[in-house]
This record gives sequence, C-alpha cells and structure tokens, in this order.
Amino acid sequence: MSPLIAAGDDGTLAALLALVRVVGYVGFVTMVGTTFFLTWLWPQGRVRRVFWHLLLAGAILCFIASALLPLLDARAGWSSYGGREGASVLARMGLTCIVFAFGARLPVYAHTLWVPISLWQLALIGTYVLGSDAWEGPWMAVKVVAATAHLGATAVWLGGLLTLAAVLIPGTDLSFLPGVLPRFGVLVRVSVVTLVVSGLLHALAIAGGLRELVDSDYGTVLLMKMVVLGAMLLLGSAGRRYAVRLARRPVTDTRGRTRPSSAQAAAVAVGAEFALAVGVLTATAVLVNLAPAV
Amino acid sequence: MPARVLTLRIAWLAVAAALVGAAVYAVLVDVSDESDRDTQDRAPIIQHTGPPPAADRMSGPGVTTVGVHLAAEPYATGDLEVAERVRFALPVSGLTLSPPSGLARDGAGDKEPQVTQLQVDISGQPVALPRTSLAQIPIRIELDEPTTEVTLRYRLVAAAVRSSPAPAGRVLVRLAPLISDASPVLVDLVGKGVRNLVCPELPAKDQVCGSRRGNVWTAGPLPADFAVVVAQLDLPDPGTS
Repeated sequence: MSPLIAAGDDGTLAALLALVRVVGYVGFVTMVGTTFFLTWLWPQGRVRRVFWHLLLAGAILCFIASALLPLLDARAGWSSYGGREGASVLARMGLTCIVFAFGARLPVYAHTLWVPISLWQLALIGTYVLGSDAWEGPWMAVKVVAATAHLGATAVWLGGLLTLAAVLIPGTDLSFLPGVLPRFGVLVRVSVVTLVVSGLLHALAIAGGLRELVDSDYGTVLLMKMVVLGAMLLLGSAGRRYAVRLARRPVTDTRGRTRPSSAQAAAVAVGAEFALAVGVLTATAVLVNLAPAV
Repeated sequence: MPARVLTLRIAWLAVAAALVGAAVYAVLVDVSDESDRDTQDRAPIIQHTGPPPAADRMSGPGVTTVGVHLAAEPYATGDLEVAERVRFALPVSGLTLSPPSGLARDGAGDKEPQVTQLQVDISGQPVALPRTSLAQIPIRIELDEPTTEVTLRYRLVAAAVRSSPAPAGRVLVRLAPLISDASPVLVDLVGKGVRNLVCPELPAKDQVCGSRRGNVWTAGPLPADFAVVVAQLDLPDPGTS
C-alpha cells in the first residue's frame, strides 16, 4: 500500500474540492438524466413542471461548480481557466447556458428534438472526458472511450433515478410506472454492465496494471466505490420490484390513483438508491485526487 | 414569442457561444504549446536554453514580474533538468549562485546534490562561467553589464533520495533556486510521476503546498527565504525520459 501522502491531500481544500466536484457531478447527471428520461423513457411526462425545475437546478449546480473548480484547484486567478482542464470547464459552462437560454421549452420538446439534445448530452460528457486524465499516458483511446461510456451510463442511470424520485415523492399518481419501469430496468441493466466494464478498463489503464491497481490508495477507494455500487444495485432491485407491485395492485384497476403512502414508499426506495449514488459520486470525487502516477 | 424572452434567449446563447469560444481558444493554445514543446524535445540539447517543456509560463514571477520561476523535470536516473528564470527589481552587476542543500542534510541521504552542465544567459546572450565547482561553495559571476533578467539552465545530480520501504522508483527530491536574491519564487515540477509537494520551511499548516494542473505540479509563490520544496515522485522508467 502506498503511503497516505497521496496527491492533493490538503485538508480543508481537498475536502472542499471533493465537495465542489460532487455538486458538479450531481448537476451534470441531473441535466443529462432528466433530458434522457424525457427523450427516451417517458416523453408523455414532459408537461410536468417538476422536470423543468430539475433541469434548472442541475444547470445552476453544474455552472457554479464548474466555475469554482479551476479557481480552487489551480489557485491562479484567471489563468486557472487555461489549458485543457480550463477549456473543459469553460465548454461545460457554455453548454449549461443553453439550458438557461431555452428555459422551460427544453423539456417540453425533448422528445421531438432528440438529435440536438443527444448531441448536447454527448458534448457535456465530452467536457468531463476532456478535463480528465484519459488524455494522458498510454492507452489513450481506450481510456477516452471507457470514460465517455462510464460518464454516459452514470448520468442516465443516476439522473433517471433522481427524475423518478422527483415524480414519485410529491405525487400519488403511479399510472405511468408499469410503462416506465420496465424500460428503466433495461436501462439500468445496460448501464451497470457499461459501468463495470468501462470502469475496470479505465482503472487498469490509469494504474498501469492489475498489481499496480491493487497496491494503491486508488485501488482501495475504487473497491469502496464498488461496494457502495453493489449495495445500490441490491437496494435498487428491491425498490423497483416493490414499486411495480404497488403500481400493479389497485392502481391500474382504478386508472391511476393510489394511496399517498404507497407512492411515498416507492419514492423512499428510489430516494435511498439515489442517496447511495451520491456516495458513489463522492468516491469518484476522491478518486480524482488519488489517481496514481503512470 | 415575447420580445423579452427572445432577448433573454439571445443573451444566454451569446454567453454560451463566448464560453465555448474561450474553451476552443484555450485548447488551441494548449495544443500549440505542446507542439512547441515537442519541437524543443527533438532539438539538439545545445539549443535547450529555455525552461523545461511542460512548465512554460507566459506570466508570473521570474517571467513578467519580479521573482524566480523554477521549473524542473526528473530523469529516470533521479537527476533533474532545471530551468531557473529570474527577474530582479533593480539591475544587478553580478550573480551569487549558492549550491542547493539536499536531503542529506536532513539525514535522509548520503550525498549532496550537485549542479552540472550549468548555462547562464542574459537576454539570450550566454555568459562565460568560472571553472569553480558549484557543489562545494557559492560562486560569484560578474556580469559585463547590469541586467534585471537572467536565465539559468542546469542539471541537478544526486538530488533524489530513494524512499524505503516504498514502491520501486519512488523518491524524494529537494528543490530550491540557486539565486536567492529575488522573491517570490514559483516552483513548477513537471512529470506524470509527481505525487506531492511539501514546503518544509513554511508554517506547519501551509506545508502541503502543491497544486496539480495536468502533469505540472506548482508550489508558491513562496518568499525567497522559505523557497524550499520537497517533492515525492515516482521516477519515469528508463528509456521514457
């Protein structure tokens, strides 16, 4: 095990950096997840204001965190926005401004404008890849593809979870669940496979081999992340089964109305899964600081 | 669509375009710098009179303001290629170069680092050096005419102390400018193997002083009296540097 004097251990500043990264990730997955949810999983839900609120909140979080990150990381004033890392946050802030520009119209037309919205999502993911260590060292092509797939899978899964929770928590109408949950289930399975394969490839490429990965702080935090991910999968699976059961019982028979407690129970399961997801994002933020030298 | 909404939309799109444009510009400048650095890497060693590749700075202490910019890059042997750019507040007629103290003085190693292959230039003009060993004593270089800008280029030999027990190739290196008459000091250490920088002369709460940007780690600006940086790094494999 390498000594704990790892890269970027700077007490408060390191914690603050990790926090800003997590906030930025949450904003990013909220934006991509919400638009993906409306584009592919539930276009009929576009009339609900909650989606616009989610999208706006995600954009604000992502914009502010992106603006702060280079200043805290490089501590070099305007020069902090130079280089590849600076370019990536500037591009991300620019892409986020598109949400502010189109406002509440964006979720409404998400389904019909799926081509530009998909390109916008891909560009947002690209900004994270551009600022990452995927561009350095050997196996660059593998790392870039793996990082893109990893971020995309993370965003559509976690963003989808958040969107689902946001619809379930305030409402009692579960009529959409039987239609949406099977599609979301497929999405989760594809996302998990993508996450595991791309994550493993990327970690091996970054560390320089299996032995190097195991024998590093980076490997330890990665293992913690995998444990939280496993817990998240178990909880998510149980929660979705429970939600489907709730939805199919009296709900479909009475055309979409059930007891508030039932909807809230389903929301709690999804919410808990999302809380674990924030744990995964936190581990990811820590991993950024512990990436071993190659 | 109401005019107010349209105006707002155009304004936000203009901001978005400006930010994306700035991002493209930052990438182009970065790529251009890398291309220049690649060219410098392929050039004969005699032409290496500027700073080491990836730490090129366009502004800051030693470059556009008074102070020292120290840029270093490790070789597989543990030696360091160092470029030291100095800007004085007032013209100086001579330079005093002090040998760097090594980790050996802290009881961590058995040899003092030595400066070899020293080159000095003033505004691009090379300076003839005395044949005194920099390893033993400070040397004084008298200049033909006063100057405010000096560039040193040298190799720091035996500067690395291997950590033990530690992964193979992990070392500690101590860095400090040869010229201590200018302040502040900004230190850039270039390399993918750099893990951390510590400034042991600073108060305890400030000693973890490195910040990373790509493969460049930076410490400072530091006051000249406290401008000592200890780096923990994994040396590049032989044949890769």
